[in-house]
Amino acid sequence: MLENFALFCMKNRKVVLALVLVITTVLANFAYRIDVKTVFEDLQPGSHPYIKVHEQFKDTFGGTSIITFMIQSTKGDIFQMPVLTKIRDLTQGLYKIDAINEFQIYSIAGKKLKETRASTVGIESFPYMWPDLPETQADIDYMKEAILRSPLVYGPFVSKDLTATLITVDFFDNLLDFNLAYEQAYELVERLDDDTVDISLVGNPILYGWVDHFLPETMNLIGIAAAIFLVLLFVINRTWRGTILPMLSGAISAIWALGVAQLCGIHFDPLVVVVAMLITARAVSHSVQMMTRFHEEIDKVAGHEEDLDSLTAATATMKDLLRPGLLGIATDAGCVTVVAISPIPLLQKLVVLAVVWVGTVAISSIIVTPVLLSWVKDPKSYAHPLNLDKLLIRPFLEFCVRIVATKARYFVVALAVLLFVVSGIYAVDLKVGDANPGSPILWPDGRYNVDSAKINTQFPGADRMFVVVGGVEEGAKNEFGGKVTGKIKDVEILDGMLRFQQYMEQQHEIGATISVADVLPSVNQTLREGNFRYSELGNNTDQNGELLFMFERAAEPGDLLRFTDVDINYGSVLMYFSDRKGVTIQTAIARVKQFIEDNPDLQKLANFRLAGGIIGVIAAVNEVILSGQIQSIALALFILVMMCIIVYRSSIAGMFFMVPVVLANLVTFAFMSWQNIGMNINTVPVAALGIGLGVDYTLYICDRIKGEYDLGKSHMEAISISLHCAGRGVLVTALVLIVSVGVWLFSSLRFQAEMGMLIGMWLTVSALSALFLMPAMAYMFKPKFIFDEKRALTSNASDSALSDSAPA
Amino acid sequence: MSENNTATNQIPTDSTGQKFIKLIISILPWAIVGTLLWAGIFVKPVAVIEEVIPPEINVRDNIFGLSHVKDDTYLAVGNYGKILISTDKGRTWKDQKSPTEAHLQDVATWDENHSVAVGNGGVTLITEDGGETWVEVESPKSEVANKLLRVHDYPNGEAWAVGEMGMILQTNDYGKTWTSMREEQDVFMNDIYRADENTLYIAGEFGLIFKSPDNGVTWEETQTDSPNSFTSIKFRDPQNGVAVGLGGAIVGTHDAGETWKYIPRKTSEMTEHLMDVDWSKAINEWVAVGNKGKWIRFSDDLTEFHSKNVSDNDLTSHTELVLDGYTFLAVGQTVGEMDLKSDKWTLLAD
Repeated sequence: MLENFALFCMKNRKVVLALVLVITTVLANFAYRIDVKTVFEDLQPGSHPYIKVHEQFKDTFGGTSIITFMIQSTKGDIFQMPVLTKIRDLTQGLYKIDAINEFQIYSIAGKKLKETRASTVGIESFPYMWPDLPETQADIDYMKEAILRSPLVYGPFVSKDLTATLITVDFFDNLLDFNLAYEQAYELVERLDDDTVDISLVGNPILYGWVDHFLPETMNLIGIAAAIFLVLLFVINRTWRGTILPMLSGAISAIWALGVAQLCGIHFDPLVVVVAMLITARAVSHSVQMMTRFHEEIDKVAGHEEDLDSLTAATATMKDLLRPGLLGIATDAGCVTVVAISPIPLLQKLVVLAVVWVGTVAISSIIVTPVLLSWVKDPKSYAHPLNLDKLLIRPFLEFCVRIVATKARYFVVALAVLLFVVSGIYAVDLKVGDANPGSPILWPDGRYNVDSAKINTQFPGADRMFVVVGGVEEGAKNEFGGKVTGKIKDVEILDGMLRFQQYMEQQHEIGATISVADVLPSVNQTLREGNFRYSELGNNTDQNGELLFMFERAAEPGDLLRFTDVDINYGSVLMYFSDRKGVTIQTAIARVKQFIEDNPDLQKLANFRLAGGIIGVIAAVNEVILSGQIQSIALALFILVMMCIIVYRSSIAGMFFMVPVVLANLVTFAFMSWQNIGMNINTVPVAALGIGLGVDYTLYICDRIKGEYDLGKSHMEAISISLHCAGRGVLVTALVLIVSVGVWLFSSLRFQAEMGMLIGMWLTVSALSALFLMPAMAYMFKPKFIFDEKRALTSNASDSALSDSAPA
Repeated sequence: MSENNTATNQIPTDSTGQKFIKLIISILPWAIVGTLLWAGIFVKPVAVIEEVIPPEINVRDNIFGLSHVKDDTYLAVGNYGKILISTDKGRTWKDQKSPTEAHLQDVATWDENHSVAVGNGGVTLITEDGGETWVEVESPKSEVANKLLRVHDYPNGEAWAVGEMGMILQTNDYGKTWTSMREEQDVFMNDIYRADENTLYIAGEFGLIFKSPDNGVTWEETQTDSPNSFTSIKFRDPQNGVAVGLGGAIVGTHDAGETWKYIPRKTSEMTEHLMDVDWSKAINEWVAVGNKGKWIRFSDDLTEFHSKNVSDNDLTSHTELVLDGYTFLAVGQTVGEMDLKSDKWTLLAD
């Protein structure tokens, strides 16, 4: 069937080519218009309970788009005129940033942070320095004292050593444009940052703004990688077609995939550039295999009077390579599909993109390359005389053959077993979530991570999670038939919140927690002439209601919304995290659950619910990734094994092809855990793709061994021929790709550099196992699906001769 | 053919072994496939969690009361019924099992076995084994409010406790039974001190000082010039005493409470609430601690005042102090030790 298909394509090669050309032109139009951006909602697994809580409350209790400025005085504390002026200017400058939520600005120069004081009329509150700056030193001193008195400001917004203050602002998510926010926020920072103050800036919009900021650099790197790639191919293959054709097939599949993605309304996330590179690399690799085989077919008849014509050679190539080529593509697509099980939209969209992309490789490499080769006029001419084949490639492949033929093969297998065990031990330590503080997307010495570290040393932490407390059933009525209000004024609930906060703060990475329950003791203390012995909740629900009422009366409408909803039925416990490490977040989540479990009566009353804010969202993503981690790897392997079993009609084949994949994966995971690279939303697709990609090289080699053995060659001859032809393709592509992937090491995005390194490792391990380990194993175990005695036409005497000559 | 022959010949010798191996080889792949499928569907990895060892004193813990047991042993009490023992002068603390969740405000110690703690809701706890085990005991309560604020011990099992609603309680049996020594009144009694064998003084609210010349049978009320409430009162001898309070209020007497001299803020330069005062024999001065990291030392004749911060960056509030030679321990939002020779503050617990 495959043979017929190949013949059909060759017969109608003009039609096939014209068709591909037309489709490419059409899709190129769409591909050109694809959106390159990050959509934060795409990172959230919508079905996860944390995300539901987050979505319900993000507008009141703080979303994921909060940005934080820290103004740090370079000399002395912030209570001096020049610094206060800067704080005021920055706060006012925020209004010029598009899409900010002006009701969510928290600054000592804003309206929301206030001092609460007891007076003859009860409790009154005043903004610290809004709308006007203090005028005299006495005013400044008074303000400083007022700030020191407020636990809601001194600590969370003014650092304990008084040298720094935070200004935070949230955005309207639906209006937010990361790039614009990034530009405008930094513009503000640049305008105010001078000798008197040092301004730091963090927050998700800023982080994704940085990713976008490096987009031109990313494009340059792609360009450089492509250039290196072209030069290397030209030097090694010594022909223009050997250079242009692989590039062309890579380009065609990219255009098709991006075009289809645009048609499906999928945007292109700059963070998945690495995945795109990986797939393009596969397209190129298949194409090089075709090329190598084509040249072999041409060379086969060398010395004969009449050279084989290009059409015949191309047809033979296509016919023989269709099976390993298509199987390779099918496993790639199958394995990456598994990632779609994850409920994270970004990954689902990525799977669509990747499957289409991988699928197009079948056309661009497996069909277009041989079709184009069939027109080659003078297949034996070369563009330059430097013959690396003779100097390097052939000797190396000869070395591979010798390893398999001699006892060294046992050494190779032993080495592989050792590698299995050692990397297996390391791989167990692979972390889910980020393994380092700061953002793993950027380098530790990048401005964003430096700023983030500065803020985390001065303050309890810039990243937040909120736990929602309380709540009533939809449409619940009170005894008078009205709306139920004030549910969380219950003294038991408030007391429970304080105990919960105390429990959570025992974890070192949680710098502080804030809730409405924190407001009440300070109101109470203020009412009791500021006596510290009265820094406690009211004795009963009525008293707390009164305290809250006093706070509200002094506050402006909306001031309490940081802590409760309008009806005071829901409250939030806001926690500040000093890092986003996977283990930090998992520990915090586990402790929340533990507290709920330890306090069943309180839970019945107060209904603590996880979790919102940026940390809540990351926690949900990490949980999804963690629970899917084994799932996706096991299922991807399962698909791979089943495909091999079906295609080769042998259960042993499945086991055999699992070896290089598992080895490549273990080595990479071990490397990740050694280098502290966590398994996160960015690395998961790369890992799943790796499973499918790890097997391609071995498929080509083993299929060729089988083909030659079926033609009647001896075991060793078949292996030798396969290594010299298919092996050349493996060696050339691996070499070229590893070098061009190396370009990513110089990326300003740490994530890209790390992924480049990982892909490089994958390619190296799977290439080396295809060249050394798999032929050695094939020779040692002689699996029937490769060496089928019945199908071998004649038994060859040279087989035993070769085996004998090999030192036993 | 020859190969086949050899194979046939070998069959009888180890046929079972070969069959077994063949069986394994044919089963193994499917077993692996099955395992992969099973793992893919059912295996859920468990998240890595770090163990959190809670500190004996948490950041949110407020330690309100402190007493010296003997040598380097101290007892401290705080919110949510917290009871702590230190045997190394506050360097390390050990959390004790407490019979109450109520905030404990003060603790007093008679000897190495007997101590009493009082707090919110009129709760009174006693220990007879040096603080290892505590039991709650009955005490007179008001219908209105019952927060007990201070307790002080005197020889032979006597102690006095004061609190909201004009509550004055006395015990003579190491806290086992308590008697109310005054009728209920809507006035705060913030501290009590026995100046000699008959005379007791009480620090009240809004500048009030109560004096009993007859061991608590009758009480005289004196309105001092201070508008603020007093939080602590002490006498260094029957004639000379001081009271300190909110807003940095300081009053002193040299005639056994007949007259009280009020020191305005301007003189003392103390702006914050003062919460506890005591006489230091070592430096011959009064020492008081208070809110926002403030403390003060002043002379017996109320002429010299030195208002200070415990340190530049510790602005936490302290409610009680215990003097020991040239040092004192203070508790509150934080626990720390002050060296009176060098004015150096050492933070012992957050």
